[in-house]
Amino acid sequence: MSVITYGFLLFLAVSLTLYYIVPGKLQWLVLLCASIFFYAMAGVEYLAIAVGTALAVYACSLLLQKNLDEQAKRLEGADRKAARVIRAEMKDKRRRVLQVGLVFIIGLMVLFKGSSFLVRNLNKLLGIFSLQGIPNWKLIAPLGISFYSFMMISYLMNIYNGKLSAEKNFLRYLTFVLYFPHITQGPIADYANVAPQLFSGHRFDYDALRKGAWLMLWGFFKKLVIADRMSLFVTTVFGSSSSYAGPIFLFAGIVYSIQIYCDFSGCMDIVRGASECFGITLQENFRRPYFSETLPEFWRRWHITLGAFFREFVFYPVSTSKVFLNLNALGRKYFGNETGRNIASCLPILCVWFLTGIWHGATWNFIGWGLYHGVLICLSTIFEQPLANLTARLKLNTTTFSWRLFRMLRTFLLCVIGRIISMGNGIRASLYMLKSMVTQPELYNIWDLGLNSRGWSLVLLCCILLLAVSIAQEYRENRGDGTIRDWLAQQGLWLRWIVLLTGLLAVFTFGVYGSGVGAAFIYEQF
Amino acid sequence: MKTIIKRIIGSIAFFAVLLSILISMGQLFVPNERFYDLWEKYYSEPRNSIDVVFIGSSAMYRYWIPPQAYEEGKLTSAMIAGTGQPYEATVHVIEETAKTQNPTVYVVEVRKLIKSRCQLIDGTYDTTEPDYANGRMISGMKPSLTRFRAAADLMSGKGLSYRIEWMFPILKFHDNVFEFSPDVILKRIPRVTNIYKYAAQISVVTPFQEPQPELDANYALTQEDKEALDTVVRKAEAVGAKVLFLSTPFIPKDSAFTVQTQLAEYMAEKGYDYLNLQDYTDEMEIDFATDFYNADHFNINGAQKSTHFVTEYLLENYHLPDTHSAEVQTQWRKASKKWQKKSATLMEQWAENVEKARESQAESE
Repeated sequence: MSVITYGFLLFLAVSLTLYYIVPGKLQWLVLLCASIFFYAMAGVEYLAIAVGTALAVYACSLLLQKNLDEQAKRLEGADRKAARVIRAEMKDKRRRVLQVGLVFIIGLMVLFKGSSFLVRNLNKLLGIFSLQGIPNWKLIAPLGISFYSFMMISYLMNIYNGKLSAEKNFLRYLTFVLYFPHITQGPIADYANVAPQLFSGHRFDYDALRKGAWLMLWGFFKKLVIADRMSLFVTTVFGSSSSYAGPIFLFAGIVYSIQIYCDFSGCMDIVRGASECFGITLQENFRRPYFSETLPEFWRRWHITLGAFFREFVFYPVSTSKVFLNLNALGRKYFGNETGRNIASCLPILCVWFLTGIWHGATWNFIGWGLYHGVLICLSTIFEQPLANLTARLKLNTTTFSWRLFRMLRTFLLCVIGRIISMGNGIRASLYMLKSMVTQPELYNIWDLGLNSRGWSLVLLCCILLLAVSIAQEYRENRGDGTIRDWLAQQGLWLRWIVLLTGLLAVFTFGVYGSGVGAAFIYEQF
Repeated sequence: MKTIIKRIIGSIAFFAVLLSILISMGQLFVPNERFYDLWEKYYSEPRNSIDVVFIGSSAMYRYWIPPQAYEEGKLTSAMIAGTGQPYEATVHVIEETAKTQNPTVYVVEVRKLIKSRCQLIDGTYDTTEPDYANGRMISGMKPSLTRFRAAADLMSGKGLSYRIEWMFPILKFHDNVFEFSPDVILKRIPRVTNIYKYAAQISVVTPFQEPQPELDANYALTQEDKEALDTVVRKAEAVGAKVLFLSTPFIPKDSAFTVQTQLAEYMAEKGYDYLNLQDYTDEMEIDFATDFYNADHFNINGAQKSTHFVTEYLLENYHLPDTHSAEVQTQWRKASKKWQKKSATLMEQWAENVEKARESQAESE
């Protein structure tokens, strides 16, 4: 069930009503039943897979917890030397349990999302040696597998590291995993943040409900009015890129960058808003990413929870692992301190970005996109100090608005290039588009490419509105003044009504929706 | 407590305002096209001024000329008949029409029922046309429980989204916002006047020979069809009106002829009023060579004959009102005059087309 259907709104209304009718202690059961129903709409067989995975992770978590409890018991009264031995022994056992859990989770992800890609490429390799290929298959991945798998990995890792105690009640754990607002596209929830909210009773809070509804409205506006209208143009160009040439690809990349932002952040607003109606606050996943001045900053503002996940569970463990510490030492020995340090810091970065690319899609385009960002981040790390020295020597004032605007536009352009890499139908197509946009001067009439002049006018108007709201959000956040919704809640009744009625009418009138219109979310495919 | 009540009232008021705006705006988005405006024309009729309501598909509106019926028998009539309009819509049409009029008779054409049954048996039934016809019919209705029930009933095989969209025109037709121009808006805001009182005839001529169909044992009227006929009779009775089932002349295949024959038997068995004009083609002086524009529909010449026949039938068999108010008479007189001019033009064109058809036939022979 997509969150932009009438069915979802009806489902949400019914769930909310039941949620606030039942006693606080039982509210989480309403969430569990609603989430099971929501997930089952996508297919009962996929529900069975998700529940089965959750059961396996639950079992692993109990074993990890048992190990930690035993360790704590054995450490009582032990001296330092004995304690070190006990810890190492218990950690070794714990690691094995963790490995089983991780292999299971990652194995299922690879099976559903990556096996077809692996088999395809393996067959290409076998073909080079004139060997017979293996039969290819394509499995339909369970809804939200990429998201709930990462939530499960995060859960197990936090228990392993002793940051979290395992949940003893399987149904409660299942509620967290299947919680319907975050199951399809995230945010990748941290158990420690969300669970206390899920299982504590919530009294009906009118203010929370209306603010949640306002956030949903903003999400619907971004998704249906902006993103889906832009997609009419983007799919025309990227859908048959071989039929076009020249700067149209750059323009399409810019439009797509705005589209994917509105699509993904729109969905996040809808699910966060829906969750807030239950009194449960999910983590923000977007903070005006196109206001970023550097790529590292961009990735701290875009898909925040994914970035946090990779940082905590891939980058830090990899970069502090024995292998990389030894590599660091070797690098410094042979290439000097600075180069050696750069190699040691760049390899984990590239590792993270390779995985990020694969997570988005098991295709060479996404791998290329991931490595492109990885390389850029490595370069920004390597050249950070030299560039700072250069700007100081040139006496450039880096606090001016024009300098900051230049950096924002530069970062945005770098992202656009990355988007073009991801959007090609194969790496060759991406390379063709990148080359063509700078070498071929062909021009097209953009209102013959999926969107007419009125459509473009609407898109432009909406982008101006989006920019204005984003600037206001950024300004208020920097000053600690709260959100736009807080501001709206303080305004008079008439202004609130005008804003909300205008928003609703805009969605109903200008939204791209209706039976036969394929308004799916871009990130749902992940 | 005061705050809670204030909030409840405020929320209800907000949604009431929103709903009103959506419903009003919806009328601006509905396509500017003849069949969408049917209900608008109906609602613009003076209250309780219509003697007979005709319901059906093109097998109705190509055969009945309301201004001519008024001219000949002072019979006022309305038509809620659209292209491809399914028989299943009839009960909802009766319910809606009875809100503003109290017709003595509902004339319900049954050829669409017959055609659908034959297609279902053939395996050639396609839901696209009836879905669209139903949607068009529903979206023209004023917002009411009748409209919601019609959407829920007629589109019960479709998803929730589909039904909700047809209940609220703005949801279905919002994309038309990009077709807006001052001209379009001006046409949508004021109520449309019904200058020809639903008449929709054309002058094309396609020559046929009188058909000689035979019975085909592979086709039959089903229990479902019979129940559908019973439902319409009950509905009409509930609103205090009678039903005359009507089958208009066409060039039937054996399948349709078979089902139609069984339908006639069922009508006789139940004692329903049923008029099969196919049985009266001689009395109507129907010329198969000049009165059809295609195998399923009369042209202007044929329609004039069927209108005359049905008008006399209705006047003879039903106790229709003798007089109407001055306002109604004025409206219908105006419509008759306008129609006379239009039909004269159509008849000239028809005469030319008859000549062309004869020449073309002679050449091919």
